Amino acid sequence: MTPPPHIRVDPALPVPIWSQIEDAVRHLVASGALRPGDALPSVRDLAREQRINPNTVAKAYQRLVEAGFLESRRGEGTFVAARPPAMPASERTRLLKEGATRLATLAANLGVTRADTLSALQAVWPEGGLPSRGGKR
Amino acid sequence: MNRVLAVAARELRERWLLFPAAVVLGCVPIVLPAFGLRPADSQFVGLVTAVSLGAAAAVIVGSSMLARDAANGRLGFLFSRPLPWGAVWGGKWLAALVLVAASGLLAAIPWMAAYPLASLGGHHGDSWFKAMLDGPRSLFCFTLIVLAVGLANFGATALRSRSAWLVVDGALLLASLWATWRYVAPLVLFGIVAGEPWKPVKLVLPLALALVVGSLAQVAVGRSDLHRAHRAASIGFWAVITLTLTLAAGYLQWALAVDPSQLQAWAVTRDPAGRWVYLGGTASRSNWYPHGLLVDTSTGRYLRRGPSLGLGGLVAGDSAQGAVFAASGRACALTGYDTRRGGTRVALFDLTADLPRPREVMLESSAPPSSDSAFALSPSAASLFMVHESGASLFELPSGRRLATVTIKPGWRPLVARFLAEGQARVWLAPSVQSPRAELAVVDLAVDGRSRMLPFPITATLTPSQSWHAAVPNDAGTRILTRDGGVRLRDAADGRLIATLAESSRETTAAFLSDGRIVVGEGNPAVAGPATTGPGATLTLFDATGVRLAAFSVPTQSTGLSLGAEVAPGRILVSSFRSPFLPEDTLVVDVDAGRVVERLVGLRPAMGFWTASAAAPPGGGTSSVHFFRDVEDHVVRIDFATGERRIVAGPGAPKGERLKGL
Amino acid sequence: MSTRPTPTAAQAGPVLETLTLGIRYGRTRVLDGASLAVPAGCVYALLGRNGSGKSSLVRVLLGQRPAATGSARLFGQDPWTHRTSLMARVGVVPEEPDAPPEMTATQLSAFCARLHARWDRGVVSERLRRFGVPQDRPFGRLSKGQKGAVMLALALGHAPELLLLDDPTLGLDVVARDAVFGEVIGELADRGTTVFVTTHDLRAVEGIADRVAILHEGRLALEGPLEAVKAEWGRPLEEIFATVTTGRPAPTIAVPREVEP
Repeated sequence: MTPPPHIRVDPALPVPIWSQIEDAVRHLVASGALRPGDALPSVRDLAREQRINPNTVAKAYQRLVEAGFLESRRGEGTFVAARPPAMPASERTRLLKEGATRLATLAANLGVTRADTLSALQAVWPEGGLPSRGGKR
Repeated sequence: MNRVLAVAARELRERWLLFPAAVVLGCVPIVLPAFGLRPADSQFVGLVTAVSLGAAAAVIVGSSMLARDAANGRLGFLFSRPLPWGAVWGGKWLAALVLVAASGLLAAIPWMAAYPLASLGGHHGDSWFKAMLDGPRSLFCFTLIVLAVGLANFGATALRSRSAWLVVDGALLLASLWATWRYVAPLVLFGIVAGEPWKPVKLVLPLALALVVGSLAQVAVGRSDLHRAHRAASIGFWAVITLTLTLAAGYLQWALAVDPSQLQAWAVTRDPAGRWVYLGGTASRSNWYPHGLLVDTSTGRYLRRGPSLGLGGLVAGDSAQGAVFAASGRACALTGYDTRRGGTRVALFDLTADLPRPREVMLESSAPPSSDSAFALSPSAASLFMVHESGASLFELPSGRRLATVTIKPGWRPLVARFLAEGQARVWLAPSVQSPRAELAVVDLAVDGRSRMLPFPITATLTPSQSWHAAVPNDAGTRILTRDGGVRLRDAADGRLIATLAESSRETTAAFLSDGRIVVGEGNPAVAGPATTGPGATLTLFDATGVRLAAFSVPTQSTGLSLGAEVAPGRILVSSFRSPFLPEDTLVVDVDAGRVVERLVGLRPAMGFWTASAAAPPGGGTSSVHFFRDVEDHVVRIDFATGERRIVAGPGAPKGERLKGL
Repeated sequence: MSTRPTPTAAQAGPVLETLTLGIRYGRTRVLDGASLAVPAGCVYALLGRNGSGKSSLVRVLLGQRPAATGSARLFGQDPWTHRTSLMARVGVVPEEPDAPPEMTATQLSAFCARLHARWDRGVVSERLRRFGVPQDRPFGRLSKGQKGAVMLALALGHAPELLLLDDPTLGLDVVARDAVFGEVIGELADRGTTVFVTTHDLRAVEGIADRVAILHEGRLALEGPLEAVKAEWGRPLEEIFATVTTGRPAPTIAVPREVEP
């Protein structure tokens, strides 16, 4: 049984912590790192590990449950839902556009050419393969 | 209670080392004899060790239990828990008392066992245990422990806080010391507060209580903050002290507020006319305090002139020499001790004024008054004659300037001092107690400085008890009767023997009548008889030159036989004195008729202060007013001309009106 | 796996609040008209530099000092007059470890057991074991981190409704700090304890605080939910704190902002 994947948050970021957790879980599910039926860390454990408020974790889990990504079983914990909803295309497009904008801005600030940016992109996402996330699978 | 014990247990656990240290130190006196120390000294060392260890424990615990714990956060630890402040206070105090008492006891037990109390000099059959259970003593020890712990606590709190409140503490301390000197010291030094065995407890208890109240406030209000704790402790402490001092001051004022009806007079000095008296005595509300009241018996108005504490703790103010009145009856002088200059000061009263305001006169370069001093006031109160063992002086009044002095050789002390005329004084002296001889002396002193001293021999050496009444002068001061193994009439200026009136070493007494005749009384040895009508005394009448005229007996006790004042021409008082607690009668005897004309039941003549002399009445003659005392502390004024009797002091006397502001 | 339970005893009002609280030491005003409220189950962080009045506020909240003006309330009651009953519901971890140095952790736990109505010696012991604190060594001979662990264990032994920590990470290294807050979070998750923490160590509280307040020179310069504050400022808490307490404007760096859903 593989250990649950690592969800990491950075409290210093302006992004609300519960939002960071939510995004992380969504990404993990979308990328297949978390498969339907996998157990998520308990609220207590994740809070202790990341030094964050359990209420925040609970809030994130609650929203994910309501969104259909997770399901909560009494006495057992929180698990990935059997049929996690796919992300709507508009949502996917928006997120992708945001990510692209961030990459472009970063490249502009660094003074990197477009060609170099694309090379960097290809380096982390080789043709035909899966992108490495700098984390665990 | 459980919480109190929890706090106490923790305090004890922190300082447990005190107990083994106490036991070890307690064994030291036992091994000391091996080093050559005597057992008596070892016991003393043991006592000192036990007390010192108790004191050290008190300081250690007292200074740390609240003050140090506030500074290092320990109190914060307790106050962050559901622990009532009362449990904190109670637990810490309980532990402190247990620690101090136990360490003192543990240090004492080894040598108490080695030296049982019964083996110590002066104790027979008691055990240490019983001695410790004695009520007042153990309460006193307990109070001392509380005092030591409380002082250590207050001191440590004040010093550690380093707050400005220390200034307030200092100021209040000075104020309290002054107030203690002013109001509490007289209570103790004059014996106003009742004595043993509770006295030490009474003095220490308010202080201990104030410290306890201060520590209560410190914990309840100051909590874990040292500054607030100090302020609260100060306020609590000084509130109790202020209250105690106020009560003491009030008690002192009440104890001193004695009017003639409350006075138990033991000395009465009168003016020649019988209007003013100076009464010295005590009152039940003030135990041993010597009150002095100057009373106008015609109106009942009176002044209070008791002693007070002066600089250096010495009793200032009027001394037991009491008052002397001028022959004119116009003034009275109260002599006392001048603490600032160490001499004699005089309060001079003008009795003719409506409000006899005293003038305080310091006698220039004078010696302090003592029980061997004699005083006389000149007839118009223009000068004061003072005689003591080493000299006699005349002082001008009211300036106090010294007018004349004569030195007296060592070995004499004054008996009777008197003014012969306005500027001429005379004193008769007896040998001092240390050098008894068969001699008396007379010293004359005039305001212009002329003086003379003449010792003269008498027939027998006087014993100390005989000497104080050895010379009785007549009103003019020209003749004296000496009681030297008998009664002899002598010339007052040179002691030349004129006549021997009685030759007996038993109870004899003698007095001059105003017309120059002399009455001599001799007691018969006592044979069993009823209380106040004893076998009697014999009175013998002589003329002015010593020729025997008549003799008759009077029914009176012979013990302490005394011939008193002449109440009317030819009528004289005869009294006896067996005991101050038995009622005695005084007889009025008519010497011409040779019999008793009146019996004053239960009354005896009121005596003055024994070295001062009553001034002669103005222009000679007799006064019809005389003062008497009885065993119930009444002072009675009898006017023999009118027969009027008035109680002047004691129960039933009028309270009178106090002349204040003087 | 544990689920987060609902908070015990529905609170009619906030667990802890101050109403225009003013504190004076002699003539000096240490705190001036501070008003804040801590609802039940909230983690409230009071931030401020040394000498800003944090510790004085804590002392008033614990009933060890009276307020000069305004008032403080714990569970709706005045802590100065109801200290004894209120301390049964509060666990306190002070700035300086103040337990008697000669007592061991076991003895301290036994001592506290006599003071509280309910005390779980087993839980205390287990917590200390987790921290790796020797329980039979005198308190005075423990390291700073171990002392802090003991104070926390003693504060939690009676399962308090409110946990009050006064600068709990002062002088602790990162590992010890994480251990302390890990315990606090565990307590939060298990019992929904309200937490009031004063600190100037922002990183530690940034993750767990629900509401935050910044004390500057005796006044509350900023107060509100941490999320909203950070959304409004768009900066990490450290920068917000630095700006508020020094008045120095922070450097502007364009950081892409996430839009809240």
